[in-house]
Amino acid sequence: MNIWLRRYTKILTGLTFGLVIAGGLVTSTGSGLAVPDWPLSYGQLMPPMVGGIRFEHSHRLIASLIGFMTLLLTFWIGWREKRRWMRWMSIGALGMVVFQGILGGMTVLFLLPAPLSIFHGCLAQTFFAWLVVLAYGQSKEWQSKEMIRTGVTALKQFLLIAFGFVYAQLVLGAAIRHTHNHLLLIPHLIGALIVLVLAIAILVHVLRHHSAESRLTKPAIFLFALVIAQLLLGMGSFVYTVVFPKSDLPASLSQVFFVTGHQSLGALILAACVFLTARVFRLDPHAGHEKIATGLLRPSGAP
Amino acid sequence: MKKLILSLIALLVTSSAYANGISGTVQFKGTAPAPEPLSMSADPTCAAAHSEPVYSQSVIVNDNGTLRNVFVYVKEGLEGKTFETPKESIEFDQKGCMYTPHVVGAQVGQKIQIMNSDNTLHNVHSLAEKSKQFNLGMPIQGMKLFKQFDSPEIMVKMKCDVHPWMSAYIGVLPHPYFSVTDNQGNFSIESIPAGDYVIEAWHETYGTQTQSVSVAEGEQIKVSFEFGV
Ligand SMILES: [Cu+2]
Repeated sequence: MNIWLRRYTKILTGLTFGLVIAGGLVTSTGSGLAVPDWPLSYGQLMPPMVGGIRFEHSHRLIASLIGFMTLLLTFWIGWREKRRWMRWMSIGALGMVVFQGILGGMTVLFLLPAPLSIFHGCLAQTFFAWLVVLAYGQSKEWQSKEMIRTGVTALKQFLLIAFGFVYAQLVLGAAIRHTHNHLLLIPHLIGALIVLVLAIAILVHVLRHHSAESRLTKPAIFLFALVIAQLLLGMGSFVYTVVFPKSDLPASLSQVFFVTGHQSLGALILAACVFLTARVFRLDPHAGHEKIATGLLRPSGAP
Repeated sequence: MKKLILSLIALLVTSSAYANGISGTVQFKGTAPAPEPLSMSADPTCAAAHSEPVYSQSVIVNDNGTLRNVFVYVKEGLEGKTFETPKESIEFDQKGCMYTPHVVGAQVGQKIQIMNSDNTLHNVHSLAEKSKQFNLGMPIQGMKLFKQFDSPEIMVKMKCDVHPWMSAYIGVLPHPYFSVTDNQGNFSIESIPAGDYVIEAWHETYGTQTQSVSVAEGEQIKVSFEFGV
């Protein structure tokens, strides 16, 4: 175990969340094409930071830093880490960040076609959630021998279903953001209610069955709180983009705040959901399997 | 699209004019909306270019109660005819972090000379739907470049993503019969062949209106439109 590697992974993960916000600001302020060339910016490494260039070029700078840090992480893990899955996770992270950078460049050169922008937005959040798992894999908790026994639980199923719906919400949200197709708001709203129900189910389950296990209660409460906050930000975004749209002049501060906040909190929800899932699978790897051993799912023909 | 109060109409005045033409004014009805001030603080060079407050150009009501920047053009009646592409280019300037002119017409294939008169950088971004879009960096003061549009389109929106308040509209037509209302609300379409036409008036905030007109040989027709709330 390497304490510096662990810290470094955490810092990289935190900075990546900052990059998600910075990328969101580019779209919210309508600055995605303020720098028409890529990979250089107006033929330079450092153009004047005025108007929309402030957002677009800051995003490029932070992204370069994250790309470089991910490269370093991959080398570091390749050098110090024995676990194969960790090595593959880091190579996966590097592949994602390189692809993401090229994708970002393509959105500029092809003038923001919606499918590319949606893909760029979704991959950003996927990369962030991926790093969260990577950082968790580096943690003391993961590398300890400790396990907890919770018995047969539905928690894993809840979490995996929640992950699926949160991810679908991310894709839908990105599609609404980049196509302005308001019809998509209907499935997005339905998805939001399903995610809310699942967050409540997860919270109730954890509080009822594992109330003494703060490693599960805290993330479950956190996830629930994020979902509530997300509903409020979603309503704000709806009000400022659909009810009172302001298309021509620079976007209002409230619009930028709600829309960027909604998108960034979405990334955090995805990460929180992935983290709690990883933790449950790590701490109680056998839950669920016991079902096969003890009960309903016994292979037919067995005594 | 906003509901328009359609109004008419045409004073058909036969005059002893030299050639056939369609001209007139676009009136504004109702109270003019308060002009929206633009903040250029995002780029100090832009802010420094203006000593007076700057306002959005999305609605400009002239002092005489007419509407500026209405694009008036022949929509129907010229089908099957071909027209030469003018050799002279349209000037389209970026000055004080505003587009000059804000609304302009061009023929298909006609060169548009895009200039940057500002000591800051602009990206000039065409949102054309029928011609190929482009997004070009113009980082140097005095820089010029030429572009053209390959298909007719009402209207091609131009914008700058560095300065999100900057927008302009270019009407692209296969013929030369178009005009934009000036600071008196007047437009004038000259030397048009005699015939029956549908003319349309387009405004970025108030939408479009059409009228049918007949132009006889040697006739100058007066048409008026009225936009408003
Ligand atoms: Cu500009």
